[in-house]
Amino acid sequence: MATGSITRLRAVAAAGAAVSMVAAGCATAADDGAVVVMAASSLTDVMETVFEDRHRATAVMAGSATLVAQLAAGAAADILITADAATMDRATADGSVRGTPAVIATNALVLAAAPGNPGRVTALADLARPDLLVGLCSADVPCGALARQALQAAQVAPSVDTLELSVRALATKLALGELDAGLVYATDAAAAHLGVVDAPELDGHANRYYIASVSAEPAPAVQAVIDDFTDPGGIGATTLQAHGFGPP
Amino acid sequence: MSASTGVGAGRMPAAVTWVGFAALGLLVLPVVGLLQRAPWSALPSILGESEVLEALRVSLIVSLAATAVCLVLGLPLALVLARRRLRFPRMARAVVMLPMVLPPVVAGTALLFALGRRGLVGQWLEAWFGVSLPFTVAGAVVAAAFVALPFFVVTVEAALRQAGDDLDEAAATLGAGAWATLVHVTLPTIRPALAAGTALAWARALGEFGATLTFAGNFPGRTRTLPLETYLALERNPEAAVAISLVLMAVALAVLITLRDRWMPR
Repeated sequence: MATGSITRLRAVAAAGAAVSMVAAGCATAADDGAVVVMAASSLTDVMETVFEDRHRATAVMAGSATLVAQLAAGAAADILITADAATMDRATADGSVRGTPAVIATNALVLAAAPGNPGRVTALADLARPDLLVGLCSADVPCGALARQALQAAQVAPSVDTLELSVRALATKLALGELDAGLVYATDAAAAHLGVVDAPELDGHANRYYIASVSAEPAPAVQAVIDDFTDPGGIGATTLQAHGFGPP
Repeated sequence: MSASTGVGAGRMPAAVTWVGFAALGLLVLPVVGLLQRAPWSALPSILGESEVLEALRVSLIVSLAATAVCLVLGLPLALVLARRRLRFPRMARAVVMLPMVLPPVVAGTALLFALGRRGLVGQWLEAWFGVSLPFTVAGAVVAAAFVALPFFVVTVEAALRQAGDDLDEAAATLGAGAWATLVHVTLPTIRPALAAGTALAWARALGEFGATLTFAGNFPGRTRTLPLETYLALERNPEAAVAISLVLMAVALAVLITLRDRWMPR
């Protein structure tokens, strides 16, 4: 792997690296000394920018729940970044992450409409209209759990047509105009060029992104990457904000 | 058709036998892996959950309807491919097999582009008939039929070619009409292939995941089939996912073995 390159490794590849790392006794998880960062898939664009020329690092991108399961199964990584607290809690509880987690960003839930807003969506309560094609994330993924909380708090009973398994899939169907409205993250709405409808009820409903070192005593190269995300002026923190993420 | 033992076996290189058995092992091993992780004692309670039963109901409705679509559309297509002189026969056959190689998620996206609300044909379906396929049971049937159709057509077309049209011509010479020849001569000749093609198409429709999720979405009781339920369970409770997969495999094996005994030559 070239310096600073981003590779989407599979769990198998990561497990293979674990074996070779134990044999060589390196300071980082990868046998070539690169820092291995496991990060939630919503951070794909951010990771590409951050690691372009800054660090010797390899990013493994997948859904937070999948990453935590891979770590528990023995995949080798130096840093874990999850898209919500629940998944990070699981990783610290089972001992696969020993560092102290820190919040590095937030991602707000927004009411998004198809391009041109053909369903004339003007408020969160419109999600209850049966004439609209409404999509949410499945409650099994973080964006769906968050949407469910927000709708309950706002006392809106949505007329749902599909529960998508990832926020990216939901945003794509909105962008194609196959769905009229849905609740997605601000960053996904921006990436898919969706119209965002003002919904004050959604204020305060945001996911927190956590970073943590896998080891209790991270190597200097690993700590440098973490610092880049936790320091407000670091390249990690500034890139997150440039991509539409909120401050911690 | 070859006999089950003896004839020709002595002339086969030993290496071929070994590789053959290794290949069988490759197919069986993952199933064994699943079986040894199966939560046998918790099986009744997991499978009795209302979500699982609901997904089973959706799966049966969608896969059977998709199989019916495959029969109604696939039989004429197989007859055209086998009997008509086509200008571009190879091209036609390649097109028929495309859904087999297309990643199902891409197939689902292609269906959205074609039959979605903003799709090539879908926008007119919506404008003229008020019909919108995505996120409906009918949409799930279309997705399953799209990926299953080639399995039926390829099986039946091969049998039609192998049977040839001598019998058909004989029937015609004896004065049978086109319909009578088709129903009383052609179709009975290829009955085993019809059964095999139907079973294959149904099995493919039952296991369909990617195209359904992309084109028909995921909603309990409407479009959430057993494979979708399995995928969701995998994130939440892997034991439940194993249990549901067991049901899928058991149903498929039961049907395939029954068909083989009753309809296909041994």
